[in-house]
Amino acid sequence: MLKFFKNNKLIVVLCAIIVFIALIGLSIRSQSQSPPEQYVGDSVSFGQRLISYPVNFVTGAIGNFFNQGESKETKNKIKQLEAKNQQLEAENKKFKKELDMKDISKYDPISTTVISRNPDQWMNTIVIDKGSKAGIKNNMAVMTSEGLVGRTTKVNQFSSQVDLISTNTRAGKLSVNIQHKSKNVFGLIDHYDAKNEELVISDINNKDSISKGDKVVTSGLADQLPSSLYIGEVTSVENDQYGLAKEVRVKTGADLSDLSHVYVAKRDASTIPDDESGDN
Amino acid sequence: MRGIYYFLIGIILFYIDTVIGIVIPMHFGKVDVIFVPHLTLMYLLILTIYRGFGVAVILAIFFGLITDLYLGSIYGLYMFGYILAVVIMDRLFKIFYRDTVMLFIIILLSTIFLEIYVAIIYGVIGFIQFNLLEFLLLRLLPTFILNLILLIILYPIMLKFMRKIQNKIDSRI
Repeated sequence: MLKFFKNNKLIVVLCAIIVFIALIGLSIRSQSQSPPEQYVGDSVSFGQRLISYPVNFVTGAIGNFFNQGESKETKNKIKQLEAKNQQLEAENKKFKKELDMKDISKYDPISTTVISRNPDQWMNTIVIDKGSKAGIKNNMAVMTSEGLVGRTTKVNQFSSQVDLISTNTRAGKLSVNIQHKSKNVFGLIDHYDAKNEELVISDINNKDSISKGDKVVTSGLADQLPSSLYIGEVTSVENDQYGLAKEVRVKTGADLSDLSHVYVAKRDASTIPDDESGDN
Repeated sequence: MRGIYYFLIGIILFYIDTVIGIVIPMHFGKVDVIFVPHLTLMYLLILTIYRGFGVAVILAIFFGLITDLYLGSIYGLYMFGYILAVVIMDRLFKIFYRDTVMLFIIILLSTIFLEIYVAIIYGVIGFIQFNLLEFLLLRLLPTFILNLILLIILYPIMLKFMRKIQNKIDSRI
């Protein structure tokens, strides 16, 4: 065997390059996880847990030690807003029932822990400790209490990989609504600008008015994403390079560099369209 | 039997790599400084020199595959990268195994080589926006420093460990 490799070096190298390119093509296109991929992912994540949980615990404790004590005023304010929100939600629910509308913003949060992060920080992917056994599917929204952070891309049985919104991978475009006063402006997130740490939404009609400080939420038009998940705030609105459309820059609400606990938003099953296409 | 020791150490180092990925702070004020630990690669290169090409290549394929399947977005990226690094090490630099300074330099250079290789592949596919100055200053330089520190810790431990295993095997025979 080894002799064969030694005698035909060039052929081996060429074959390897061809296999590599084929693999790249395969991995860009593939959407679902095949069983062998799942086995490898799960068995690696099992060992990862043994190491990550203590580390997470220690770093969490250190973090808590440093930013202890939220000011009382903000806490009070949050409580007031919570109460108001609850009241509005209840009212809204009642009206919706009367109108017989489906609520696509409803979801069950599945609480998960981040067990690892891709050490080469080109691709911002994290691995979480729950998989399809806990009800997670491909393309579900992943969020922290501060807003959306990413989407699940590779779902194994007991673990899954999440592409953060700061990656420019196959998951690609995410459809969002920009809330300007009471109007919703539809847009697609084009890419993440790593330099300024902002999301860029391009191709927005010149007629639509958007101003700084508008809130950006998910639109709920994709398969598994519930609507009205908070993403961030508009920081600037510019014309694009030809002046034909607007380009909006969005600062994400969640801090993408420091994640330890995230929620997966499992959309209410009754509102998902029956024919699941798998790709977005 | 002896293969299992090499394998286990590799797995531990792989996990330490990912844990460093979580723990290391990635912000210094406004600037993103990126440290990429490459313990697994450095371990493979040390194995190539002190243990042999065959073991190193098998482990390179294994750990490359694991990295790709578990963390990566593109399959084969790290697998071929690791194999390439091991092959180059074996063919060109094995003569330096007695000179520690030279060995350190070559191992660190190969981590940088892997970084550049990964950047080129991602750049060709179009997953990243490449910026040369940032790449050099904020990625390669910190990565070099981090890996230097890691290698200084790793190298003596590995040498001791390998001597122990070799002795065990010799005495058994």
